[in-house]
Amino acid sequence: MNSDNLKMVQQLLEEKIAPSIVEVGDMTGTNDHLEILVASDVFKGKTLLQQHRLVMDVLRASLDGPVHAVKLKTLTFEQYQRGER
Amino acid sequence: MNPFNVIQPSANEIKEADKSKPLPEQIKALLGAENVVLFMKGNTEFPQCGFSANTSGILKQLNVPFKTFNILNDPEIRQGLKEFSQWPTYPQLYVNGELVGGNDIVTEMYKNGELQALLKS
Repeated sequence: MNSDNLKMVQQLLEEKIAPSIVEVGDMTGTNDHLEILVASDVFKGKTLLQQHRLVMDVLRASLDGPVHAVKLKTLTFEQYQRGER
Repeated sequence: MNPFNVIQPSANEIKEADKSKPLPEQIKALLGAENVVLFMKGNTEFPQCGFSANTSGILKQLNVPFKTFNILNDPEIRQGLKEFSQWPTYPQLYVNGELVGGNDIVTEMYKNGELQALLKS
């Protein structure tokens, strides 16, 4: 059930927030509570709220539909490479 | 009313929006009810979602006065605030009427001290 959600979210983010590293995981075994990490330099100089907004805007339709909740972590490439998680 | 909703009100909870007013004014009034307002599922005593539980737990620990509003009790506010803030999920934390973020942002700001700084100012 909902097994395509992870793939769909992954593709959406890779498409809309490029270039980026995207990791999507399932938190609950039901594929509708997702753990997402996005690393991209589009986040540079933006507040956390602005960074999360960029991602949430891409996911809005999914969140109105099959995805119930997401746990989101946004990083610049530099932060990602330093291993900030 | 949801017959399965047996949760008891909590002391810092805004019980209901003023339904005699148009929706934008209801939202404005809720945002102005306190400097720190958390829109969540459930309340601080009986959170109805893990994310809401975590955010309200952080606020409780910081010892600042805050009010909560249970969006599960009010579908109109639940949808209207999402559109107002252009933010698709709950909880949503507001300080001085401005959206700070959801649970992930609040947790990260709590860990790095930004939340404490924001709430003291």
